[in-house]
Amino acid sequence: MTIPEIIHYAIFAFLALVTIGSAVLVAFTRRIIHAAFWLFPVFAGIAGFYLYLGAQFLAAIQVLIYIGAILVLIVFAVTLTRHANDTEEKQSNRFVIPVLLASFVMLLPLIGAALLNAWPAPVTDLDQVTLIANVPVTDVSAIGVVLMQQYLVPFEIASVLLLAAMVGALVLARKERPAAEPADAPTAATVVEAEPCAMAEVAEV
Amino acid sequence: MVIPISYLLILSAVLFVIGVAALITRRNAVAALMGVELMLNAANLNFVAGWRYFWPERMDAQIAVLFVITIAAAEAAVGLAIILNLYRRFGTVDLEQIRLMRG
Repeated sequence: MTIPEIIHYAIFAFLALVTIGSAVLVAFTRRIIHAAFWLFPVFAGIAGFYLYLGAQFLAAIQVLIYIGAILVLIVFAVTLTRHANDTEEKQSNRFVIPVLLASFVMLLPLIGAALLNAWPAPVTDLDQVTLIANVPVTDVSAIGVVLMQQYLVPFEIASVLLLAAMVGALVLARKERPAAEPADAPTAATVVEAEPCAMAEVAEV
Repeated sequence: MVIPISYLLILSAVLFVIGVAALITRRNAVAALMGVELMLNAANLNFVAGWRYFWPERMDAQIAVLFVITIAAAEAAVGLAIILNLYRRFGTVDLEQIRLMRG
């Protein structure tokens, strides 16, 4: 079964429009919470590209990790660090014009390289490609085979890194307590009472 | 593949540059982190495009994307924890106003 060319271009144009349009909004929307929510179409568009390119497992991982975890984390961070005058203040610093110019200059060689390079002929039929005997590359098991054999050590190091990041994030985000703890452990009620005072101190500073 | 690979490469280049612009120009620290996420996604898209077009018989690109996503998750967790700490100490996440490390 062959899909007509126009469908391919339509899929590409739709995904590109969604991804780039939302990315521009992420970078330049005034309200931070809106920028955080505009990340969703960016991540979803990238997941769509993974699906279109035949990397189904990565598309699933993209949805799980980026949309499910990182996006939620970012939205939480935005709401926790809210400002009353968030919308009135300028959201970008004084470098906007130079940075836009510099990014455009940076973009030109990238586009030039992509267009002018003599790329080899792409592989057309993905279903015929096999990793080892009888494991097609579109299969998730192909990733498993490579990850568990060739990349076992980096895989384990990555798991240690995740553990370290988790512990580090917990330590960093923990509320600092006074050195001398009272003998009786603070109950939940006292902790809740202590919260507004700490916030007021921060506001005064 | 019908779409020339240069289209995909240009798309991820544009995404990367938008991420750089967001990272440098945003005053809110959380929004600057969003720019980093855009850049990482652009790099991942490049990896997958290269895998699909030229080396589908090797899974290295997909493994690389997996590791990048892992490290992005770790980076987001630690970075946002640092930003929460900043907010607690200074009462703001405005990168222009936090001048502790500035000469």
